[in-house]
Amino acid sequence: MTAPRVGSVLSVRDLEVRYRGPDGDVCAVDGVSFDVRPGEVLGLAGESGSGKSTLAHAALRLLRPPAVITRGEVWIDGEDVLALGPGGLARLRWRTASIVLQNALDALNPVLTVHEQLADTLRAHAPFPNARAARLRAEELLALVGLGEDTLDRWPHQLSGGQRQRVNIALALALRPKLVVMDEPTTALDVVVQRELLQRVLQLRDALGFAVLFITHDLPLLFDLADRVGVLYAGRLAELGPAAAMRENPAHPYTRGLLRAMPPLTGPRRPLAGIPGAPPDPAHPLPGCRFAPRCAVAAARCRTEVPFAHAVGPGWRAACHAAPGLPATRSP
Amino acid sequence: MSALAWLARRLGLYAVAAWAALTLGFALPRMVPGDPAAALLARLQGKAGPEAIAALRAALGVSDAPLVEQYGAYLLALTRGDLGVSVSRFPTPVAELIGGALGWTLLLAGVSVAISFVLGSALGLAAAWRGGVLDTVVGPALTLLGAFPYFWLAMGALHVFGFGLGWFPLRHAWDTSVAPAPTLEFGWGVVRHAALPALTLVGASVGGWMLGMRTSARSILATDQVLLARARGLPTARVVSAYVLRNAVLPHLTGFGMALGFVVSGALLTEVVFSYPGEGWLLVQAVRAQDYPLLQGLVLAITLAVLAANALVDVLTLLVDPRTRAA
Repeated sequence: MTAPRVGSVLSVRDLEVRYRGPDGDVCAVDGVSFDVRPGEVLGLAGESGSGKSTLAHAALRLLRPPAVITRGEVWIDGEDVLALGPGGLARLRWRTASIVLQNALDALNPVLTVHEQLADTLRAHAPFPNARAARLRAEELLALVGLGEDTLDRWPHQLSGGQRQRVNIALALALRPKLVVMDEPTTALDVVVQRELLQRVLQLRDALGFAVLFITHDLPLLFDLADRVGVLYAGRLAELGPAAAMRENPAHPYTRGLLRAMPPLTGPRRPLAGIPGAPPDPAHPLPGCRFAPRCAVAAARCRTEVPFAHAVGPGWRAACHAAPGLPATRSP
Repeated sequence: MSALAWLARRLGLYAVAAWAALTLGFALPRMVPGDPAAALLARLQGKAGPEAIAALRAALGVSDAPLVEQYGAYLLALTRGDLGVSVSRFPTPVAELIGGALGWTLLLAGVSVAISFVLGSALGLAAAWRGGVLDTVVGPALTLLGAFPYFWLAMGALHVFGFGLGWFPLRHAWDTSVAPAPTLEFGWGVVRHAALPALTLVGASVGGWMLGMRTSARSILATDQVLLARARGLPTARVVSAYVLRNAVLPHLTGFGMALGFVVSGALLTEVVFSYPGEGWLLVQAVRAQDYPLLQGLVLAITLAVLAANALVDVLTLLVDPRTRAA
């Protein structure tokens, strides 16, 4: 395991998260390491149960029992997140890092207006001289996400799905954080609203300079949106690399399978192919590579020996024995 | 639709329900065989002559006029607050009897229900938020207390704390040796007399409120909005009051309204056990004496109280839950 990268806004090292249960633990995130650099969009893709949401919550220490972090490190802006006390955590959360969750309606308090929720967040971190100042600041935040001041005095149930998620993004940006974790923020929205919202996020990233850890099951979306893309499979990081290069020439068989299962929006038509089989049961982990039972190129070694990350190219690694590139090293 | 229009429509509905209750109150006694005068006469065992019978029927408002006419007269009398005359306590007007008992019932049962709801909700919220002994011992203990048959609990309390230890008076609502006047001494007597029945009422119901509140607070605590409110660093007091409590209390407002509405039917068993002169006690007296006019008046008063309590809850819900304002 290597030290956190200097200058990263988020460093996750060898992170393991388990769900405690009466019949033993279930390991949801298993030895994941990655960095998010200032101002970049790092996308993490994975199917249901791959541990992506658990990872998002773990990064800000928002896991609820029975989930516990059992190994590894999380560093945000130079601070050891797992070692922080309540005071340190309160400083870190929302001023340095914030989060947007998938269900926009669940994330808002149904009995408070948008303004009350924004003002609560602002006041929790900085005193406002008067109500007028807080209201002006809330207005500015809504303007950032493209909502008018008439939204201020509305309740969540009066807003559309897209507007609600805009409010959540405004809440996440309220204290100008360096990192915003977005856990499937657009999954519940239709494609048109999704695109508008993501364009807005990218514009804001350019203007305000925050970094985004973007989590989704939608790999093609990530290739359009993210600077770098990671692919999670059964709690492990299968591949992580620059978006453009990875899209052209994915190194991990799982990434290749995912891309082959999606119709290309441009270029010639080609037959679609699914990935046979289903993800493994996390309660009964397999020895060796977890993708091996579904992998077209699996060899005998894949079923016994856990593949460690290979450097495939500059800033690009894949956890696969069959991946091309440099000889096997245990570098993240 | 605006909140005001919504409220107006609701109140209109209550007006219709109240009218239906009034009409039922008119129709029911006329559907049963006999009339108040017959009941009273039965007690005289035929010793009254025809003139006496006619005079009694007139005094009790029994007439052979067409129903529509009677109905009109009934409604007219109601607008004057005239509910007829009690048979068992002839010739005291029913309205006077009900009015006299109402204050005691509101004092005892009303205050008890309010205390029980507030205390139970606070305990449930604390149990859901903090857990610990409150959740593992106090909650189940209060639920157990509420599971006892109420009359048994009340009589047990009266026996131990009233009769045995002599801490509380045994019966009635005020100190009969003190002149009923707005004095400190009289007031203290009233409090002393209400204390034990109120304690049994609160003890029997607080566990239910606590359990309900604990469950809904638990489910609210598990929502993303509470997780995020805490992640945003909001002060604990703000998270508990505005993000947890306000959402968790919503499903219980209706139950509270129902409980409040049934206050006027009196905490029947309480008032009987403690001989407390409220509506419940009056109701039992009326049934025993077959005092139809009084029963009719009481049923009407109870119905109107339930309706009024529901209207109150509607307004309360409107204030607490903005989602109800849009529908």
